[in-house]
Amino acid sequence: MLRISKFLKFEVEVLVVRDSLNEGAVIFFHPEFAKKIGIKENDLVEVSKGDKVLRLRAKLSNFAPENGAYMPNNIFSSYFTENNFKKFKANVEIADGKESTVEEILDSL
Amino acid sequence: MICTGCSCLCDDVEIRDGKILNACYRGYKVYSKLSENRARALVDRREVSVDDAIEKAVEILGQAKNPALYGFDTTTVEAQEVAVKIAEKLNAFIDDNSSFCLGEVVEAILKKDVPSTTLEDVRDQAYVIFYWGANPYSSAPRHMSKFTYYPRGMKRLKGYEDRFLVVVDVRRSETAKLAKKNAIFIKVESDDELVESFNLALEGKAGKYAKEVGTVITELKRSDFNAMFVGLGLKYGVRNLDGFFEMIRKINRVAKLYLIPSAFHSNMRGFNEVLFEKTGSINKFSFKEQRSDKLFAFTELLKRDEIDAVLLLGTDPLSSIPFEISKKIMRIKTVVVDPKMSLTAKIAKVVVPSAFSGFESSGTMVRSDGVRKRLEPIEEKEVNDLWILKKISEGL
Amino acid sequence: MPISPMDIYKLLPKTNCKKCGEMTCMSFAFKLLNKEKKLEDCKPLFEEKKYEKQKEKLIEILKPLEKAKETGLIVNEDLCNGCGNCVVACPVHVERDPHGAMIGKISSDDAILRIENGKVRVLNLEICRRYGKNRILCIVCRENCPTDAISFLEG
Repeated sequence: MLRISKFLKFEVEVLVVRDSLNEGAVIFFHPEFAKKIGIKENDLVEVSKGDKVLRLRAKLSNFAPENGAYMPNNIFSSYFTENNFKKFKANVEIADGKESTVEEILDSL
Repeated sequence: MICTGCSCLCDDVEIRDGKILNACYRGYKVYSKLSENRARALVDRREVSVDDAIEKAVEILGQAKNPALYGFDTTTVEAQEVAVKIAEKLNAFIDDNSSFCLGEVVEAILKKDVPSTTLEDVRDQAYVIFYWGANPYSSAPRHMSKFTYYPRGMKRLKGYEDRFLVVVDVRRSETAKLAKKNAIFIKVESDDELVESFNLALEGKAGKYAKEVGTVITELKRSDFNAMFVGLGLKYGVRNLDGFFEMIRKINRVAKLYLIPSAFHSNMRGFNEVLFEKTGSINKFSFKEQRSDKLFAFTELLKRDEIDAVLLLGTDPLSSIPFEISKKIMRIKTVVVDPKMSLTAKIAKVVVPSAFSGFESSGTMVRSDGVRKRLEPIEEKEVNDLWILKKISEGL
Repeated sequence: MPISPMDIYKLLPKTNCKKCGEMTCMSFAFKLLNKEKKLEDCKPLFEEKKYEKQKEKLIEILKPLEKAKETGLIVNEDLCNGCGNCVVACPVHVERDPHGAMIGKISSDDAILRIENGKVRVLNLEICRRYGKNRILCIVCRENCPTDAISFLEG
């Protein structure tokens, strides 16, 4: 079944936080917010900002900001941050394929 | 053993029957992955001997016009002292993570601009436990159970039942969720507005968070010992921290409130103290110009292409600083000293493999509150940060 | 009296037949104690007559363990990051360990909960206030777990 949200892009404010249990190419949404923008647990999402694009695994967490998302602090979140190391705005949409890898980012160097 | 997984430097960690006891998951992960992904001595990604790698490092740093030294937050005070000496010898820039982390907070405490105390005194005496822009559950998991909210102390015989918890955050974090009875969670949109509300309340006026601030001030006044722990959420939440420190001083006119940075790398505070003792500045220092400046922060130096070589120790800029800045490391000659094959090590010109301070080498570290701890490693590796830095220093 | 894995091992067939899925009877004993295995998983014990007496004894000494479930404590390790709030908050720990859990140091072999390899483990459930005849429905450990890694059967 096709999901409408597949064709929608949302601008989301993403916090960068330390997360002692989770690492890797993941992004956490508040369950209510995820419902609103049509994202389910374990969906693959494309997060983009300017010409930077990463595919991340979406997870749901009550600890996420109510109208946004958070990412653990690692190379995937650092890929998007600028002067404010703790948050950035990016576009999110449902995607296909696999999570981005560290190697992909390093290869871009 | 002292766990060097974060700036709590927990001193009750035991290893028994192959299990690590009492350490949190963060500490356990460091221990359990100790042998994974270890660094090898590399020059231009070719494997060499440790001596050759050090020799090449000396050559790069010695020939550089504008070298920098960066990192040192997970190594010992002893190694940090040698690093500062190398920077002096080279007339180089030296900086650590604190320039984008909680450096200003440590600086304000070292300069005695704000009152501070030790975690032991917090445990024994503190009534209000105040976390602002910090989520110790993730950054220093045992902070609340070992030092602040949960343990019983001389004046807090019933532990958390004898305390009042305040949590300020932009989201309902794990720590915020613990603010139940005798507690308040203040969800802010802008930290500046809360600072303003405190300032207004102290002048008898009402700000946006008048009700919440009123509750907090009333609770603070109930004790002569309260403690606030601030995290990166605060640093990036306010326009400037000076205004925040001013607020702390104002609060102290009506109630005693001590400030302690919440958590960071195991020995970030050690680096700040070592450099402070030597130069009067805590980070982003230029030995050429004999002063500290925000333009001398490692991130700024990279941004403005000011340096041609860097010695990185115990830090992985590709993971921790914005990619647009960290990718510029590709353009300069980079020497990485690290126990692990970090992402930055993968693209470095020279890699010198080292030992994990605390687990594999001894020395001193400084806890988040300034208390010094002697490390009790499981084993003692000869090739450690101190040994490597001394060799580099001798070579120069 | 806490049961040791040795007490259990002594009564097992000690043949290391691996039918239970474990390499040795000793590791099966450990799993039994941690409730990762059931006594029924030891096939020879129930199929072979010569073990009849041992089986009965085992059922007897494992009874307290069965009762332990009465406290209804469930730990979800995936959600635990070893913060130790539960260990330090636990009123039983405070009473029994004034120089340990009470002041935030958490290392005791006769505790109900302990942090091992970064996760909370249940050691001696029988000293929990929720256990036994005069039990009370204490929820201190659950209340102070921010990620709901600790829960109780009755919710």
